[in-house]
Amino acid sequence: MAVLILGYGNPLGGDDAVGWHAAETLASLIRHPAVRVQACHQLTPELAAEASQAAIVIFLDAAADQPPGTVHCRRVLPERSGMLFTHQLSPAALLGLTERLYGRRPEAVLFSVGAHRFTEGAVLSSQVRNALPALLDQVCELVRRVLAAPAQSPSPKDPQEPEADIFSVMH
Amino acid sequence: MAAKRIVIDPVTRIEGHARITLWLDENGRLEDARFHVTQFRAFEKLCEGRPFSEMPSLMARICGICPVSHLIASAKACDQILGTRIPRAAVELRRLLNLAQLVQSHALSFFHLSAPDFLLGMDSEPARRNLFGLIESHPEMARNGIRLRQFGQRIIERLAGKRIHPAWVVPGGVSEPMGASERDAILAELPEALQIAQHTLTWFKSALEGFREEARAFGNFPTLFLGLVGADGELEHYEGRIRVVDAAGRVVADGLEPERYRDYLGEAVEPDSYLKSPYYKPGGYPDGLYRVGPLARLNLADRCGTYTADQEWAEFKQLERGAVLSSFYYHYARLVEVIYALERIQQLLEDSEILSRHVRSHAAANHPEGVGVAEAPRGTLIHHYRVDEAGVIQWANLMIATGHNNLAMNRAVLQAARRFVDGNRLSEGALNRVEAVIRAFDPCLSCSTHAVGRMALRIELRGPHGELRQVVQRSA
Repeated sequence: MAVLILGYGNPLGGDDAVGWHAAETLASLIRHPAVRVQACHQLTPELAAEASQAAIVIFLDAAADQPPGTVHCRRVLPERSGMLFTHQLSPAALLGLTERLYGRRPEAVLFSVGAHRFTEGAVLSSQVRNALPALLDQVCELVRRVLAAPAQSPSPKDPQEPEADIFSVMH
Repeated sequence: MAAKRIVIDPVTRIEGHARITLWLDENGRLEDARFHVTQFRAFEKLCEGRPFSEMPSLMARICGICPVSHLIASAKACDQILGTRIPRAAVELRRLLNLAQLVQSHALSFFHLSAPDFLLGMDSEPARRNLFGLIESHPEMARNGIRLRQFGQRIIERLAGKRIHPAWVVPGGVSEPMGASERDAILAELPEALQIAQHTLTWFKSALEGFREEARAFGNFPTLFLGLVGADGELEHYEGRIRVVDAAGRVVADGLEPERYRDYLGEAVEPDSYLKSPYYKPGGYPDGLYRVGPLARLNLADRCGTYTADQEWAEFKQLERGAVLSSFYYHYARLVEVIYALERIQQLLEDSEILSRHVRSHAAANHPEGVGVAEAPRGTLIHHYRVDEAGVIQWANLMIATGHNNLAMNRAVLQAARRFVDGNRLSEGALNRVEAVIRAFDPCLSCSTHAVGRMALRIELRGPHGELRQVVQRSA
């Protein structure tokens, strides 16, 4: 598997569901054997096993700390401390877990969508709903570039090893 | 009146929000202990006015850890409202889904929530006594837990389309048949899962000697045990009838119709908990307390019904004469059940009927009432609905597995606190043992998909006038 896309959030939690909705849509848009798309409520430890098989992990989530409707993308590095909660992990904690358990360090990016309405309900706010096409375009473009790049294995744990080139296709 | 009160809030490494209160006398000796469930869900009222056909999907929202159990019990109640017999393939597919749920849930309980106590020690540094501490010290065990849980979740995903809140189980059967490729993929992964389960049970049995005190004081008292058994007395999670055995292992009642649960089960309400306190009516309240779940099921059954699990069951039964009473052995029973579930999954998949295309019966609402009973990972789960002529829900009652164990959990907390807690000198390890008693029951308090923030622990010891005497704090 080259690409693992994890869109997460509570589908009954208003804008919290934007990552979940994006993953559901991407699962129907991207049908490629090297791409696995998964919508989930939250990031849980067992996803580390799947992340360890990927060259790049793309996380999709809502963000309360950025303007509603904006789409941001940033690189995620493994977090090696402070991971105490076993039900839900941050992307960085999941990568840290992947590294510790499987000795693999896939490249990772987080696409976040600014969100503001986290009340109960299955409907996204108009600002977040309107941001979905841009999010999907950006993710699809990244996936296209990754698939077009030479095949890479997940980075080894050794920090002395050179980083995989796959991340450079994002720039 | 008690002079001091210790509150453990929240209880950590369980599914949901709860707290424990310990009352001490002037001399620091334990007077009483209570386990309180502090979350309120009200699903029984929320579903009134909804069409019964929505109930399986609606009820699955009760929990993000065991939605499959609610799906199945709810669908069985709806089958009765339809008044139709569902196809055999649908029964087998539901049974398969239920067993997959059991595997992933038991793996979560054993490896993620309780293994840190077993491997790092009850008295170890609390900041490390968690899954991530386990990863540092015993990565192979952590990987095995993840792998076993993943195995169960993948079956759910392959059958039902997604891991959490699948809508595949419907009144009358299931919505889609299983394909040969899905069956073959599960069969290919089975040997590894079985190897992990057997390896883990072998290790756990070898480690039991180090937990003699816990086995002695973790909810180790006579109670009744209750749950489903199969037609020939074998371990059963989907169909069957209710059996009750006593502490000596004698059958007190057998062949009870699950649909008539109100004839023999009562529900008391305590003012300090949102969890009801069910009891066995012939025993009265509260003496009619009973336990459900893996420990109860192994005590009830005459055998498991699969080769390896039957051998393990026979060895398990050697722990004590009569019924195995210590709640610490819930962990042991969980691992035996995982082996059973994996072997049973293989049997189901090797039956050609499992690929039948006929997986759903259709009918309108033909009966005003339906009761669905199944064994969830944590015990007997009962869904009971009444509908009007149009099939709209008028009334619902749920008896959740964790609720059945409420009285026993309270008594277990009291027993463990008496054994381990010195009110004059609190120790984190002692309080962890009180929490670990609750973890042995693996209560599911239905919050996992809605948890916000991290769980921290702060225990305050206050004097007779409310003055703060000591604080034991565990940071998140």
